[in-house]
Amino acid sequence: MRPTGAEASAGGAHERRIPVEEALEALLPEGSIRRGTAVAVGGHGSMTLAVALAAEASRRGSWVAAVGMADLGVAALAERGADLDRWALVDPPAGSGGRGSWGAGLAADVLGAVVDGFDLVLLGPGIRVTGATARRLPARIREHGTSLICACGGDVSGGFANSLQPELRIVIEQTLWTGIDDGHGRLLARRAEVTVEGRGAASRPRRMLMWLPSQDGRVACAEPGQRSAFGDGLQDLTERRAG
Amino acid sequence: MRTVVVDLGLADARDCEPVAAALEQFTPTAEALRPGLHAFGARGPSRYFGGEQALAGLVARASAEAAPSARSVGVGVADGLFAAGLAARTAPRAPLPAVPASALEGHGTGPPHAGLHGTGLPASTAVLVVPPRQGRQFLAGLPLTLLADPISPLFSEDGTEALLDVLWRLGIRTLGDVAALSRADVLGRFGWPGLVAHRLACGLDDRPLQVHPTADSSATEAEIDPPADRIETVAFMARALADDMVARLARDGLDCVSVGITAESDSGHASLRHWRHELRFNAAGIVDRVRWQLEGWYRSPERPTGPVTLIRITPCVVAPADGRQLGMWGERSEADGRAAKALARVQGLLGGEAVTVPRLTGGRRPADTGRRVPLHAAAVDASPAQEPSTATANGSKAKKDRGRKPARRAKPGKTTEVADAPWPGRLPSPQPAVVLDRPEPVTVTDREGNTVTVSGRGEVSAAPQRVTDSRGGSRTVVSWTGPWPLDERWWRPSARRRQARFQLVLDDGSAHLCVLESGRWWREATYD
Repeated sequence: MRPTGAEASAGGAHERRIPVEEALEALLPEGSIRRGTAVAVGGHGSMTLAVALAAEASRRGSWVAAVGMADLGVAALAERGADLDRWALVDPPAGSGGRGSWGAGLAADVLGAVVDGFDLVLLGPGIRVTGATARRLPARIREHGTSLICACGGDVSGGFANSLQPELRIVIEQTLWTGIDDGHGRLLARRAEVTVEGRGAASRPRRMLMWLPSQDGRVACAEPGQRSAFGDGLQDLTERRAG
Repeated sequence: MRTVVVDLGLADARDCEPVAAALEQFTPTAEALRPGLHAFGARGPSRYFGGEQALAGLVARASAEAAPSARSVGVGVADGLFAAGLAARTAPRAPLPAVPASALEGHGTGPPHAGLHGTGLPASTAVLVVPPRQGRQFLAGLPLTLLADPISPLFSEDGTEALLDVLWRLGIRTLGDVAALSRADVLGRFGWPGLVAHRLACGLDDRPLQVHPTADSSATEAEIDPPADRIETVAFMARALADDMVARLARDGLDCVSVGITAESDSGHASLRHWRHELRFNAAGIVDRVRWQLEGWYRSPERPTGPVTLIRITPCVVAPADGRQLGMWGERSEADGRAAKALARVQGLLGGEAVTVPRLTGGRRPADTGRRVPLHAAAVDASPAQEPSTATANGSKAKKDRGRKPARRAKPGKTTEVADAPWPGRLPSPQPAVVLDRPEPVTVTDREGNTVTVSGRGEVSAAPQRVTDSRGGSRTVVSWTGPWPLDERWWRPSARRRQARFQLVLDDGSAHLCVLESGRWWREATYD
């Protein structure tokens, strides 16, 4: 029998892991995000994937803060199945010299406050801290058991993303939209090829196929059998570029 | 219910307390609606003081003496708070009424002319008594806009302005016109706010006055002498104030849900912020807010140049204590508390507007389908003072106080319905994950380098070939679809928007929603 204290810390908000949607478990080496670690997501579609990774946690009652994501689409957030009542969006007010502008000192204080209070924090392109503050962040999130998901857009191995010492780097390398053609159809689904690189035991890069989202609106890891279909798609894309 | 309302115009908040004290000689149950606006039930006092007219005159005089800085004092007596408030507001201003000295002496209210020799008496006082059951006739002649008066339950409602706007354009100019409408029609067309407006216009005001003695609604404040140049010193003073205030409220069975904190510096600067708690404040929570506010203040461009000389804490919203406690093992409610605390701290650093909560709204353009609601607005909307019925009857009420989440898990009512309603012309799924706050100007050209245009009949001039963004970066279009015409609010020229929308996939794999409006191309959203 475990002592009461450990029992308490094993349940509720003190769970050791941040759960993700079942369809995304295959993406993560341990099937969930470990508390106190950072995940960096890069490439076209990183916003969609970052939100999808956080949606399940909010549905299960965790508080999620999105910092520096002034352009995050609320409708897409709802479409990913996030519980909007558990999300808070933090951005510098528009009046203070334009969107996305806050001093490095202020950004550090804001990040500190948010990391103290939230289970899961999404960092968007609108916030960057440098130097000592950035270097202290990994220790700070470990201490509070907060997980970070950094939607870096392009760069997951340099600069800010690197200073977070992410446990996992997910790079969306190749994407293909389906359902749209020259002048007809519409964006329907996106297939993506994703590289997942971890640390330690998971350091060998894995390549995955994903839907970002699929035709029925879900972000999911593709079935292994769909690899060949995607290959055709990539070829198709290359041809189109050449022409 | 016969009601007396005393309206001191825009009196200084500090005059509130002397007026409340002055009213205590007439009734033990006077209620302060806001500084300078007080109300109490007329039935008992009017019998004792010789009728409503006499009572109103005495109240006007006593209030004027208690608040020498008020520019005018109006006293209204009518059925219900709304009518009485408007009577006080609209009564013709006249010189101080000549009240027979005997009336005051006879009831032992002290020396009758004690304050009359001062020079600070208000320029005018006004008294208007609307006879019983004639509220409707009295209200009938008053302008429609008074439905948004501070005395009205619709005062701080989101939809009031829109409601009045529509009524005005329907040719309705007075409250009498509103009362003449069919109640069922008003309810059907305008929902809950319309029903309230109709009831108010008919003189049916069912919002009861608070009947138990008011808690001390005035601020607690402390002069800091010598002035403090350290936040910790101020926080120490604030602790005593907060302890005192919370204890007094607790004695009356009230929780403090929101406080206003004012700090003044000896350089003449002042900082006032309102802080709301997801559940209720304890003293430590208030002190935290004081600390955060001062931190933010001393960091801001308007930071004071001198030390802090005064700290004031005002309980703004009090709710009956519900006795809720944190979970035994600090589970959900503790997490809520942590998050609320973190957000309050961020608000202290960046300002209240910096924290928003996502809400679905109805609309066709990506920026309309979902919005960011400032946290404090979302929180105020669900304040416990709201009647429960508003949560489902009024769309704006469905924006809930996220802080109170665990206690009220009800799904958002109308907001979701509006968002779920068919919006012909809204974007098909998937929705763009990035919606630009301000659309970015781009140019979209065809194979020959000409800007792509769309004719009035919705025909595109040529297939889009290249997209050039505002920084000069250029990409080839791999596939595209459109134009999807969007013609919104065509019935109102000033608000009309006509767009032709395109989905464009570029050669780097990115997909964008670009729109053509008045001959110019914009990137509105990205399917990131």
